[in-house]
Amino acid sequence: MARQPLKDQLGRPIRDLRISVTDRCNFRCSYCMPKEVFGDDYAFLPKQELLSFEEIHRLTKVFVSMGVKKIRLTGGEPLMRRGLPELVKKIFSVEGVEDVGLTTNGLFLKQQGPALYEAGLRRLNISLDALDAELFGKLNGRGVSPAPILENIDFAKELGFEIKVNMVVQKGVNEQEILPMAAYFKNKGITLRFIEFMDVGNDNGWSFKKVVTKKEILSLLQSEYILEPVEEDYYGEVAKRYRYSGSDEQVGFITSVSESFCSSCTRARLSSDGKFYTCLFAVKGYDIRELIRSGMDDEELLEAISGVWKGRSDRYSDERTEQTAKSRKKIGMSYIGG
Amino acid sequence: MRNTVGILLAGGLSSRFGSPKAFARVDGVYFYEKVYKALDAVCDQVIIVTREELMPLFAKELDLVTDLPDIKGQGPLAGICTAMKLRQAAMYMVLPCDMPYIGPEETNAFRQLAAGTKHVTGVQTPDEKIPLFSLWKGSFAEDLERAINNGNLSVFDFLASLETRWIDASVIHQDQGKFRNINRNTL
Repeated sequence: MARQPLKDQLGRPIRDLRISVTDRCNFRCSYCMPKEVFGDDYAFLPKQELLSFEEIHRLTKVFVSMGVKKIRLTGGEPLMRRGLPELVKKIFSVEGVEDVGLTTNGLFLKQQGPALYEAGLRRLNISLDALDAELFGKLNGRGVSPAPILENIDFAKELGFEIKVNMVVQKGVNEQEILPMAAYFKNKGITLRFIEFMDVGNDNGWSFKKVVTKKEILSLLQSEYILEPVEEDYYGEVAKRYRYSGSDEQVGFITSVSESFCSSCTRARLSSDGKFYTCLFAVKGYDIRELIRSGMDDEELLEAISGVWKGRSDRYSDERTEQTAKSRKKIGMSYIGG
Repeated sequence: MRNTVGILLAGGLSSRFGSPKAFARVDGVYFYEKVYKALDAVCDQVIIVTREELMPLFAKELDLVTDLPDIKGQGPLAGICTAMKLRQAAMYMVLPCDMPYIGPEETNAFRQLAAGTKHVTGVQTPDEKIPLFSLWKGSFAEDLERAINNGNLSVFDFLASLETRWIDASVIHQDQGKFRNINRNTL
């Protein structure tokens, strides 16, 4: 199915596919799945509405033929999806997949880490927003302390995983955790990435005022450490990285708000129920599940999906204002997987 | 003093179930054996509280007791009280024999998550609270005895008198079926 390199309206190729494997999560972080919205009686997607592993496998092949090289599995919390290692194996079996990563809250790594490693997975991004037990318990909405997550990070590292830790920084909420987190993970030799609080979805009460920018975080870190910028690894790399002077340890910044990176965005997203999104801040997805279940063959699927990418002109973060953040009816973060 | 003692509650009358639940089987294994394994994985010792007539049915080498005479047959609080009186420990994990899908992974995760609670940690699913899958910090034998003697046999009422924290089952395991409590013989 090899074709000419596919480009969108702004000349951007498709390189990365983020696949959400479930809309469920065991945490209730306010910026993603607030308790008030996702209560005990919240109706998550029934199993038959989720893409099956076979369907994900098929779509991966189609996306790879369009130019995708990197796959990231997200959720919800992806470890809530039963049999995930089996899916990892299937994805690795697709020729042309160069890299598979998984984003998780890390809580079930003790149980599932070994099987995932066995399946070929090597890269984990683990979300952790604070080291303070009370604060973290409040942030995750479940009273879970960071201790089990930290223990599981050590466990996963010992298994051989390459780990990055993601911290969403919110002003007035967890900015005091920046330095303790930096010190802890520097000491562990694990890259910590600070993510600017974003207006994903419409449920998280976002405003510019709640954003701690890369510049602010960096200058805070520079009060303690000497940091030197690191060249980007590849076109479209999202994180801006810095190295602690005189060491191999790094920190990264995801600067969707203060230094948007739409112009080199090569990412596509697939929701757990098979909607294809060309931007994290999209309003509308394209129902691929319907196409696949209507009996389309791979060529037809390729035609349809390529068409969507060719028409892509999203550059939401370049154009973000308080007004768009509020008025635009965006898809939810837990649904699209960040 | 032992660090953690597991209390396996296997003394219920199983009246809705029809036969002693401890000896119902799942995958060919007795319920009580499953639960024993789950507790054994995280406890220094496991004590089984059961009824006199069931005693001969358990494996010989196990630590078996029946309710102390003064509080005999007064439900799960009496079973927990008995175990706490007979085996001193810094911590107790309680599990009933009718939760056979709980395994070592779950008890391990639960113990890890329950760290930091003052008195008792229980488990809750979206449908119900499960007070008998719980971790108790220290012995509450005296308080339990007092409650029983006053005729307060409700586990929920007792836990309400303490600092009890409920942990969401979804942070222990993704499969909520693990937390099923088998009341009826429909396996």
